[in-house]
Amino acid sequence: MTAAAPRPVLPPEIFLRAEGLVRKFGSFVAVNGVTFDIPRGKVFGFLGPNGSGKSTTIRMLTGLLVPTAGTATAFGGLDVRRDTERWKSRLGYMSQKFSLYHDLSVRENLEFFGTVYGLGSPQLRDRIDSLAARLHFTRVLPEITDSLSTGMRQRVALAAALLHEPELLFLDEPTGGVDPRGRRLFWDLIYELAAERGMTVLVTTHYMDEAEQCDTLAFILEGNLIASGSPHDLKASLCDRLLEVPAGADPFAALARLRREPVLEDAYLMGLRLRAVARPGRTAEARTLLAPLGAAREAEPSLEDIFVSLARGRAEKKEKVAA
Amino acid sequence: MKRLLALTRKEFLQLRRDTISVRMMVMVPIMQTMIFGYAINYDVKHLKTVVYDECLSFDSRELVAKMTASDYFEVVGNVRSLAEVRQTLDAGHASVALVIDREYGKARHRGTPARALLIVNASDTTTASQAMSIAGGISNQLSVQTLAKKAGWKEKAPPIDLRVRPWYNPDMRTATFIIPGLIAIILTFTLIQYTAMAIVRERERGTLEQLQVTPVTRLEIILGKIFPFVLIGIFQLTLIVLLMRFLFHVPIAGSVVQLYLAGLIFIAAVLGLGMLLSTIAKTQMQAMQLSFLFLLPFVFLSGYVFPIDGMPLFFQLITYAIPARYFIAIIRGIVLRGASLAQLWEPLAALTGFTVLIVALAVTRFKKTND
Ligand SMILES: Nc1ncnc2c1ncn2[C@@H]1O[C@H](COP(=O)(O)OP(=O)(O)OP(=O)(O)O)[C@@H](O)[C@H]1O
Ligand SMILES: [Mg+2]
Repeated sequence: MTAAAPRPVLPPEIFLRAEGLVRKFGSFVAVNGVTFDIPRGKVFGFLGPNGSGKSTTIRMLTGLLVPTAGTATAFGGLDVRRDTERWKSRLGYMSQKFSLYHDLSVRENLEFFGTVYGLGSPQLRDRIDSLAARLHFTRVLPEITDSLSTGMRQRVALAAALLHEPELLFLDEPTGGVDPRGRRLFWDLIYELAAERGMTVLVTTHYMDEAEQCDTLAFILEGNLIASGSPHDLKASLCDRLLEVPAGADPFAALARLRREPVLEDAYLMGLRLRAVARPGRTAEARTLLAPLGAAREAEPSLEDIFVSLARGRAEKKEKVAA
Repeated sequence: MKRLLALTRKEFLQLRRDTISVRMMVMVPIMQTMIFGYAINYDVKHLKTVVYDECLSFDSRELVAKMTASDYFEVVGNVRSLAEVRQTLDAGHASVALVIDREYGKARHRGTPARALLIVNASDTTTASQAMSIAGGISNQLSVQTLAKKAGWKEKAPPIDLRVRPWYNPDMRTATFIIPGLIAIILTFTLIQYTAMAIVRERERGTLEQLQVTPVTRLEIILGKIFPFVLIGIFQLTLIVLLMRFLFHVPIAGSVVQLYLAGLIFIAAVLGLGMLLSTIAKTQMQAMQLSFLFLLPFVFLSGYVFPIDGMPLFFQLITYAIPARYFIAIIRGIVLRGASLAQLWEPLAALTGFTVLIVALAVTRFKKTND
């Protein structure tokens, strides 16, 4: 009946557009109207505390979960709900939970998923071998998947998601439990594929150093997307509000006192220094407040600072609404 | 098609690693056929009998001899008093006692009723009723002979000659009756559980989700799960049929092809039930427990062990809802009576109807729960 509905055409530089995505489980709203664009060939990072709705959003974007409301468009005009089959054949997905067959060997797993994506045998074999070499798991190809270490499993799972050379890749906490060397292997490959093949990536992570490398970041909190931008831009929003002073003789007393100050949004210890975040537009007052402790200087905010600040700002807004 | 093949191959690869399950799939049919074929035996033979012969005459010995000749009774002792009879039965050394009246012989010659008493341990009703009817038969035979002699018929046959011909199972062997029905029970026992667990395991492990982001369609996922188990079902069916035919020597009177045809329909029903269970069970453990829930009514209310005609009306009504009931009726028809599917159209229609219903329900529920 809506056969003649005009297809929303994306601007050429946008690869994926999510508009007003909502997902309810019963009366619980897990994702509450999330909207964002991911440009082609870019790595988009999704940050947020546990249970904030990151995985649920990804599951809607893969076509696994039907959104309660909202749309997702990608691949130059496909709609996730209308063109589900074609949509699925062009994306790769690595879920938060390891989800290859435990009782098959690594090679059997990769062969199975490759075949399911329609790959023929000589091509499939080549791709398995080259991904295994690239991610350093050739040695474990004949082993039963169940016997692999966490780091190895994640590499194999990434390979499984990349076998059919997807244009869009979803990674849900891909590096949980992976050692630094493994994480390096991982990200090197992902950035290479993004740069060389124009693969678009959406990744969730709790590692700030990984988030730092993303082209764009989005913060999601209780199902709401509360801020997005490049890591640099996001930090800029906090730049002139983050002050640092020497901790002094009794840092804990000082910290307790600062935390009660209405001028400050947050205060915490960073090694031997005390850091305070002024409320927007009240940096001067904060400086005066900190003066007895020593000369305050502006500090370079980390993504963690942004994260905490955003979460706190939201919580306070909520309290105000409630009051 | 290629994807379906890949799914099937994957299922068998997994199965190959799961050696315990593979062994179970072979051993369960063999063991159950052995147990039900050999151990469960309603044929009453060699009932331990104690004799208290007060008469001690030619006639009384003739009666005892007739009874032991039937193979149903085996004299394990002679006693000299009723008290001893009681003691032997109480102790369980015998389950039947034959007490022959002091006047038995004389009465027979006089032509007045000759008295003998058969005491039966009726705790086991099946045994008791068989013992009683056999003993009754023997005594009738003896009286008729006497009457015939009196009437001057000499050795010739008495006027009424009612002969009993047990058709379809001429030796009245329990195995002949039990094993065809066992096909239904074994398929139920293994297939519901394996299908349900195979699906629940994929959901638990997250592999079902991984499959669902690939271009594989729902129908392919379902078929890919069902197809290997149909093959396993056919394998088990073959195994039991071979055991039945060559170990227990139960001849298949009807068409083997029709037997397999009905078997396939029943396998589909059972797989559907397994799938239905997988949509309810959250864990493999629950899937296993739930499958036992089906097993009980399938065994006891399908006519497999207890004849449906003997059940109270309420339970008789329930049996109509149990697909195994129809399948058992069909196999017994084909194997024992040589009936064709055309003759068995009623249970066949009911079985097919149930299968379609179950599979449709399972598929819709499967689609819903995995959304
Ligand atoms: N199938 C479901 N049924 C009911 N509630 C669900 C379901 N899936 C997710 N939720 C709820 O939705 C909320 C968001 O979950 P989600 O998995 O998207 O969080 P997340 O941001 O990925 O968290 P984490 O960092 O822990 O992975 C949680 O409160 C979760 O309990
Ligand atoms: Mg998650």
